[in-house]
Amino acid sequence: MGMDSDIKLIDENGLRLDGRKFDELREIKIEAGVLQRADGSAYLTWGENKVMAAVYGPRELHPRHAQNPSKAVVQARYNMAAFSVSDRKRPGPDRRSVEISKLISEALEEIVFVEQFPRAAVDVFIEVLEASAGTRCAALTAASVALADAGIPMSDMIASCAAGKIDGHVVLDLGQKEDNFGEADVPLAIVPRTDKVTLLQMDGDLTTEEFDKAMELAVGACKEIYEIQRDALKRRYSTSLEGYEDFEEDE
Amino acid sequence: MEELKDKLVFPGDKVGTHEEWMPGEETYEENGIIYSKIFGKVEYDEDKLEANVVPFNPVSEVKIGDIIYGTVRERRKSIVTIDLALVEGSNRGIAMDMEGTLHISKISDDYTDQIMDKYLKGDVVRAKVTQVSPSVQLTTVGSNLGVVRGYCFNCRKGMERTGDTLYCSYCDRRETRKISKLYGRITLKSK
Repeated sequence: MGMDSDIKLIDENGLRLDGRKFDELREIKIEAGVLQRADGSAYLTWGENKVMAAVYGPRELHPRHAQNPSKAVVQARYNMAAFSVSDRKRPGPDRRSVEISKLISEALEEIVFVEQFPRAAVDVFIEVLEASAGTRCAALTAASVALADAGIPMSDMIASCAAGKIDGHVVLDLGQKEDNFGEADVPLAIVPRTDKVTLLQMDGDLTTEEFDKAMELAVGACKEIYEIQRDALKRRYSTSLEGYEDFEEDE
Repeated sequence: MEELKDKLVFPGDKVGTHEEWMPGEETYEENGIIYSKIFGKVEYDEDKLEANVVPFNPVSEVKIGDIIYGTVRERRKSIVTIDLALVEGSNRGIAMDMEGTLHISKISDDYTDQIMDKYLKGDVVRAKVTQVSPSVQLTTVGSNLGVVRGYCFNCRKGMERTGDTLYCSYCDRRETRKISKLYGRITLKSK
């Protein structure tokens, strides 16, 4: 955050580097049920970001000592592909991805009815195939769709989006350059129905007013994203539903 | 509220109010309003006055009356324990490590003298659930229930069905089982 540079993030017309307005999201597309062998899955493209999420479970949790006798454990694994960024990313978990995995697990555990499946695990695997700022929000948004696709009992869905500050202006959904050379980044995840916050971080400094403005922008965007999530699931339903063979019982 | 019938709902969507319905399957109640827990279709049970949501992709849970597939883990004097693997009609594995018990009296219609004549460790069994709590109890009474895949005692290779016995062509052995009519006709896909 706040690397010194001469780069101008906002032009004289008040538009950003990629021509967006301050409160404009990048283009988001979600497809649910893309993986055959996962219980639920989603593929999300968010501007240049490409994220795949797969859900397995509830299933038996190994190692057994990690089991919780009163509830299920939501295990999210956020992973960036080696080819997801312009310099090769060293594969495997690192400080950053462990942190994001934990954040996402905790956010999802908030909405899943974990008490319903004692001793079980709900595994969420998130692969970032291409990264261009805001991947944790993209990951959580995709994970939420994948969980719903997997039919896991949840109290709500989660939508997530970031806001930030560039060149002294509070803007929505920072792009790669804005993230690198901007002044602040605030990723936020909410439950759209109740406005409950399940994830909130802040990198950089904002005044109270700026923070409120950033929150307002991000919450509004999350509601937009929520509609895209619902739409993805709806489309999934219209193309699936195959019958299975029923045997007649003799009794 | 009737206009919600058959409507597509997402987790957290309103399904009904507590004044009208009881929260049924895959729903929860908060401040007198019933919400869906899952992505599915709304259905109302007029008799029980319950609001239910039918999932498109249900999580595998074992219920009374379900047909399950499992493998024989252990045979005792009067019971067979079976590791439950799959519920019929669901392509997802069972959520937890579950084991079911099959009592000697519930193996078949006629009298069973020795469990050894009916099941062998490793056999794949199609059985019906008769109880889930406090323990899972199973039955294989009925011609569609019983062994759907059996392995030779001698060489552990898969056996063919000939009449009401199983035949191993490698060892030229014949073994007796409680054979299901569906023997050899079922392909189980494992995830």
